[in-house]
Amino acid sequence: MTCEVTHERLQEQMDGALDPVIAREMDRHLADCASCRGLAADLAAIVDAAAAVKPIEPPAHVWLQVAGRWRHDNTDLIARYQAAGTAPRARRPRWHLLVAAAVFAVAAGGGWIAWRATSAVDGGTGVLLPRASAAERAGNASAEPLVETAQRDIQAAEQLYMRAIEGLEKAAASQKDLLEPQVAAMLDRNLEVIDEAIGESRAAMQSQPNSAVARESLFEALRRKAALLQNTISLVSEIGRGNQAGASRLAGG
Amino acid sequence: MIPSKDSSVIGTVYQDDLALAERCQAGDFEAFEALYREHSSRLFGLSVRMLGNRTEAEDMLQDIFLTAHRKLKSYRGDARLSTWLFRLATNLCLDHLRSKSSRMTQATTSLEDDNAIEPVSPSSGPAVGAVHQIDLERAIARLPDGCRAAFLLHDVEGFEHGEVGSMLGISEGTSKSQVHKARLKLRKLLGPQTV
Repeated sequence: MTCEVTHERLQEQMDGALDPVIAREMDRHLADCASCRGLAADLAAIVDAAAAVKPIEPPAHVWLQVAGRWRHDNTDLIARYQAAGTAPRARRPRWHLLVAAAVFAVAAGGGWIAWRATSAVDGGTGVLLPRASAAERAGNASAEPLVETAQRDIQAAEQLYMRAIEGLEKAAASQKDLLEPQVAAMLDRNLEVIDEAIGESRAAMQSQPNSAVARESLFEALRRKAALLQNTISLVSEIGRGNQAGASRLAGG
Repeated sequence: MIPSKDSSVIGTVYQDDLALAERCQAGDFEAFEALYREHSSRLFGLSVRMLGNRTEAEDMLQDIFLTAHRKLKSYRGDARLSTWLFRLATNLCLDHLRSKSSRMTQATTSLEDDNAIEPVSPSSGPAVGAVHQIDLERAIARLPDGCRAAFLLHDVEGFEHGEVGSMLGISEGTSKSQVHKARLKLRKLLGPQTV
């Protein structure tokens, strides 16, 4: 067997589909040819490494968004299913679904804080800047270095977010008792995930202060936290009033 | 990773998978959640590796499950639900990449046309050695879209070439050549001259 034929047959060998007679011929060739032996070893190592590649667990908020969109898109179907009496606990409000749907409603609708609407990527620097600050900078270009001004704007925007989130956290904490334990636990888990993302983004910004990606990531995480808290508060408010229809409307966006 | 084999089969019908699909179609949220819990991590892994971007992969995962729900009526139980989902997911990812590529006016890779096998670089022994996962992930990201999809489905997810061909709309032989091509490209990317 030649090297060329061996190369052609290696794929079948990797897939365990090689004819036994040809396999013996190949083994003889591999014993004598270091180059083909090296190629076979490399391909085997790649196949083994590929088989060990792990699945990746998606972030918790993805399921919340999927569930919210599913509910939003299938209102009639869900109603028919529940009316047919096949839904377990059909008479009881599924608050965890409402929370999930509400989270999606704000996220998909642009959010109550429209960070993206009031920001722009500076084409020259790739730095994410609030528009007002860009205008301010244009009138004051000679006074301060561009990067320092941008960083100050970003810190100010982050502080605004943090103040809003603090207020929302207090409001949500005061109403949390109205949530069912499983819903409260789910809320806590999702807030933990978002807090981890905020921590990681801050760490990335400390090591790379001019990274637009890290900055985007931080503000996205802050936006998600604010949206989650805001929706929780709105939903608890509807529950507190005993307004299931209102809660359902909120959940449906 | 090997596809799930726990679904009970009658003839060629996967009854458990079919029952779950029917419950989802009927509007049973718990069934839909079960579908997500069962398959989301593998589909998210595929999306991340196909798109090379976690944020896009998160959006893609949403689209996969919502599109799956809309199309479940076409699932007949004649293949595993995981196979059906991976077919859908892979094609959504490839569509996304083609659309992105088209927007960027870059040439796309055709699965059927791009069958040229990389010339094997001569070496006196193994060029790769032990393959570290992080290096492999980076190298996979540099593969052309078509052979990356075939490699991920066959070597990472464990589907047979016939299944991969069916998922990608190519022949079994083309799947084999795409996977082989991917392995040879990976060898080159993981070799000492490029690391």
